[in-house]
Amino acid sequence: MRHEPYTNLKASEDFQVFEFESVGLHGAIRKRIIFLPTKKSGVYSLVFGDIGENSAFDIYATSDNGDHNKVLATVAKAVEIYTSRYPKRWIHFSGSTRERTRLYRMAISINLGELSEKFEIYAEVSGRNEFQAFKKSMPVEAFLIRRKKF
Amino acid sequence: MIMKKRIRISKGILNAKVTLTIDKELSKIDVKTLAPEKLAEANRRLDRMKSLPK
Repeated sequence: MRHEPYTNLKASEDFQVFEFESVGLHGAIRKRIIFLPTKKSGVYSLVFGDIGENSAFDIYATSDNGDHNKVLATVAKAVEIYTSRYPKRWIHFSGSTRERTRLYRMAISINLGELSEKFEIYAEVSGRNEFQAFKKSMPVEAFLIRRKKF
Repeated sequence: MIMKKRIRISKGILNAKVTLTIDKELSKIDVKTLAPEKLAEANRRLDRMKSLPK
């Protein structure tokens, strides 16, 4: 099961911000992806959400636009673009809720063959204080990924 | 008679062609103010981990 991303993306000059439009059951909804530097050198936090009224960024919004696979494919594409410019950076991410983190795990599992060709994929697992190489059906709390070759 | 069948080969997610437009308005956004709770969570999670993978 593969999904194509949305094909029109906008980005800031430094690629810290990406935006695209989800078009589905509830019309067009602006989506934003940001990469924030964490306190850990070389690690950037990916945060994803909707742009609501007054341009407010909402990471908890549930748009139910019927295109979540396409939206996740677009987020993956943005990560691919970002890490092609910054190949040494680690990207850390988790969902804004446990359900969303589970959704990310499922999406990564389905596309693991393709994703693992380009990325090292690690997971934070409850009760462990070291990142584990990601495996399907692992109970993941957060992800940490990086380009394989740089 | 030769039957031709069109097969669509998926390029996948990462190799899909997209149009990327650089938007200077996005460069003006102060990203640190956008999701401080999510950044704090990431820092907490990273602090708990011994080290990054080798």
